[in-house]
Amino acid sequence: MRVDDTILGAILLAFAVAVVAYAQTFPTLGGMAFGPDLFPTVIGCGLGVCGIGLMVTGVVRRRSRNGGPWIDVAPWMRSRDLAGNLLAVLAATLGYILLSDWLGFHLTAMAILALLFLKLHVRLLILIPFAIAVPLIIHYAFYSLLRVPLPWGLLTPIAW
Amino acid sequence: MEAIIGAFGLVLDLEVMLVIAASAIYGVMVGGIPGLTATMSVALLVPLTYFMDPVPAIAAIVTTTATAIFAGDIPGALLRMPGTPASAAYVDESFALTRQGKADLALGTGLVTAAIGGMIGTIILMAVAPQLARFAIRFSSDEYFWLGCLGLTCAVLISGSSVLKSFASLFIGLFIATIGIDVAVGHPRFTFGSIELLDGVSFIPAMIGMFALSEILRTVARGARVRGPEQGSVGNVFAGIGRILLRFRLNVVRSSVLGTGIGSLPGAGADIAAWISFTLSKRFSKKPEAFGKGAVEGIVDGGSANNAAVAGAWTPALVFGIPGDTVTAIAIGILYLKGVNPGPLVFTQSPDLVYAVFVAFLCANLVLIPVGFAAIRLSGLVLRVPQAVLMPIILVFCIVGSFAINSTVFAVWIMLVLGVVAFFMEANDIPVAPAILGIVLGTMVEDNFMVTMLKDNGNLLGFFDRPIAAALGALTMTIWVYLIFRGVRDARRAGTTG
Repeated sequence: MRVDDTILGAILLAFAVAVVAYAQTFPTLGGMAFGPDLFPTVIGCGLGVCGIGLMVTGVVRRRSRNGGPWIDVAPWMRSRDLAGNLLAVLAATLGYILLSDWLGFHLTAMAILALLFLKLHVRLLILIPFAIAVPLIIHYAFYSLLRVPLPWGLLTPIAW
Repeated sequence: MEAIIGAFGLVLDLEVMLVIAASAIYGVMVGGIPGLTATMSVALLVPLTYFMDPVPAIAAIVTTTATAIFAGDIPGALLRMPGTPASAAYVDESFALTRQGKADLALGTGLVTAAIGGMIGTIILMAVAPQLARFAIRFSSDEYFWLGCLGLTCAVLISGSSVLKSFASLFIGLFIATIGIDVAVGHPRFTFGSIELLDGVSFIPAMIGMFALSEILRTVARGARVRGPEQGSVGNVFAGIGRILLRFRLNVVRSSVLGTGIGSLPGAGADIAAWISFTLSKRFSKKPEAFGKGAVEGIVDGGSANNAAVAGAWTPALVFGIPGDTVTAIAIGILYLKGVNPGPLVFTQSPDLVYAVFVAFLCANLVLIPVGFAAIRLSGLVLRVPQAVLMPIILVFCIVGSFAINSTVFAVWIMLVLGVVAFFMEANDIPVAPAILGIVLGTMVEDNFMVTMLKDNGNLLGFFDRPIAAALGALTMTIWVYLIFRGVRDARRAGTTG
């Protein structure tokens, strides 16, 4: 998804203004000219200059080409299948964040693997063994060997 | 000398050797799969290195990068799909050779020159880094402030993208670095009441998000399928290599030295080294007309330069703590987590660690030959792994890897948000590398700024009091002026050409 430089610049400028404005609320230590607000302010100003620059080049370019689309539609935006792939990956990650504590690592990981495999048209013959084996291998490597406390969730009674 | 012997002892330990062997196999596999870059392979490795001692951790990173960069040649030659961006420069030459049924020649040349380039790069690193460190030991916060600025500036200078967009990326990275408790008075910045953000944005989930998750998103959005290789089987890859090396010996040396130099510039890595060496190769070739039709010369130059650059990138990383490329940016992050602060003091305080990096590099480039040979032989297998199976598995690794560092799902949030940000940045030609350098160097630049200001009672001219600082400052500012000039020129050109 490619947006016109004008829009990109406007987004950066808005963000920059917010950063600078918020940075002004940071306290300064008595007598010091430079406090915690200095770097955010400098960064915000830099971003603002980039934003303005992009807006200017965007407008100039649009004028020389007599307009054109504001947003270049990427192939995935035109295809329901590809856009679905993208959303599925984001939803799977979000799902893990929200569910893993309650459902536990194993069930959540198996579920998101199975769903993503299904979405990406992986054959059942590969889907089932991989969806089951991968979480178990990760469990062994990270939980058993590296002692990462992956949550057990619903499976706590049978934790090993 | 004692340190070198000590370093051999550290590296030639069974555990480290196993780590090197495993990393070589891992690097070849990841590098050999189109779409998975060397940086991504290192980002995915980070959670594992977190649980290792510094020496095996560094050995793992070094070996993975060196082997992944070579392995990128394999799908490049067989499918015309470079496995990593570093192989893109000469992919047309190697694929043209494959079409003529000479895939073995293309891959063999790539493999042997990669190992030689890596060795030469390591030798230069071993010779230069300690000398530079001896010089850098006198540096104080003034010099480090300017070095940090110089590193950040180089990232913009070299990114090859529009100046405005590269600067925007840099500022985004610097902004991310300011999140959390500030260094001067301990005020929480941009945390919005979140306790987890007080420590700042954790580096590892940020890397995994920006390199791995964004790559997964790109791949599934493309819906790419892998096709079968052009040439079914590859013959003896070492046949005729000796003659090629003899004929192009000067090319190997030239491109290795050049690659090491380019690699040591902050922000410029193996891919840029390969492009520049390949371009020079074409320009100075006795047979420029052969290029595009399978010129072995181009593969020799590009192949040795990209692996030399991998070693070169470690020079500024070890000596100044300023990463030469995205991989060393990750490595510096890991060293900090392990309580090792890269910089000239490392050379006196833990010289064994520094020499261990050198020895690991030598081992990695030696291991590359047999592992690379096996990878070429098995290439048909690696190339047939469907991305539809791979991507969900990598996603689970990304999630667990982010979680593993602090055992909190908050890290998964960081990965998700920055992964989406990086995805949109790349879709709009905003390079990600300057942002990464911003995240890594932001705190260091601010720390050194504050220390210098306190020392000089808030007098900005204090940054030019010391001769080396003044020279570094002048250099940095000259580049700034040049970049502003280039930015204005780009904008004018955009107006005239549309």
